[in-house]
Amino acid sequence: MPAAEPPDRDRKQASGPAGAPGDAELVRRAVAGDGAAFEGLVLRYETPLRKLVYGYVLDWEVAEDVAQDAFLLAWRKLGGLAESAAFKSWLYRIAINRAHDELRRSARWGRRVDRNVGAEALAELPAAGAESAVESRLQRRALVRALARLPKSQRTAVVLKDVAGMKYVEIAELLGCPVGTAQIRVHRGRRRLRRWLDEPRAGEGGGTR
Amino acid sequence: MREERKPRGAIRATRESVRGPAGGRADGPAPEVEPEARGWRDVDALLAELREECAAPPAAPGFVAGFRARRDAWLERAGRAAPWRPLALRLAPAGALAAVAALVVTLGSGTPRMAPENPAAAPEAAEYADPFAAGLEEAGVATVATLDDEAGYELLAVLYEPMGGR
Repeated sequence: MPAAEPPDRDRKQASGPAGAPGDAELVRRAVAGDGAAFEGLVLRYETPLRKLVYGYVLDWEVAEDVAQDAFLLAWRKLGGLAESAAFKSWLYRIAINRAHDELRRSARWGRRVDRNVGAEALAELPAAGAESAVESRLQRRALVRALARLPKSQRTAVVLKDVAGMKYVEIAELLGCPVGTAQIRVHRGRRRLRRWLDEPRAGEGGGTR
Repeated sequence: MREERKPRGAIRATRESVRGPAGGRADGPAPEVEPEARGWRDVDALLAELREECAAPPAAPGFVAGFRARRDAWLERAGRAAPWRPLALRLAPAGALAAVAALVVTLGSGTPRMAPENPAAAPEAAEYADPFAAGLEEAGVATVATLDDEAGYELLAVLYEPMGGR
């Protein structure tokens, strides 16, 4: 499954591709003021981080912005990273937090925009293809909103598993919880998403959580 | 790993049987139904679609340049803010307010004056006919007219002298 590739590739990257310095070495050099070393880390994790954030925001441009923000924050706080070998998990957690913020913002915005944009577009473009495209967009936005309504722990687990394609072991490691807990969170998150998206009007009401 | 999924076709068939083959739109004008209520694919299908997209992200050739731009902008902001930072750190909001108040009082009162060591050396204070002082007396807050009263004199010296001494 192609979605399972990123984490495996990330693991190789964390220890450094053949001949390339590992994360810990790059972090040490970056903390010492080597700007190129940190840019090496940016290059190494740029794609996995964009994918991770995309799982939340479902927009590549926004994902790029959020990922850059996450790198900037990591660069500023790098001196406080106690264990340089743990850079990857630390960076992912920063990105996840930023993505949560962005998701909340976009969900609030989307709630207002969806009805207007969707209704107008459907009225102006009655062709079947256009309708399906608009519906697809609406479904994505609804998914973003539904994700935003999930408790943070379930949201993270679902995105990491079902969108970023991570394995349960990796999710558990990243979130610092047992594998069983990660599985339960994914299961419960999916169940809620199904309920809300199958009954969109019920999901709209909000305030049930 | 994967959860049990209902056959997708079955779900669609059920929805079509409820809504009709074209969502009830073929036989007349579109019903006044909000787009969101038209029907949905199952969540697993939606997530699978997203997973496929996620597996093949578009190239981002400007990513590192974008990061550099953000970093440089942050450095510039931090550099601009730096001269003020020590002052800002030293002054808590209450301290800043007190400092401003002290500055205003100092500028407004002209040359700072000390209270005379001997109360009898400031006889003018007893002559002030000021409604504020009278109000203080009426309210029983303080005695302000009696030079013999040391407490009253001190009150004059603090509250009154900057205005009445000129």
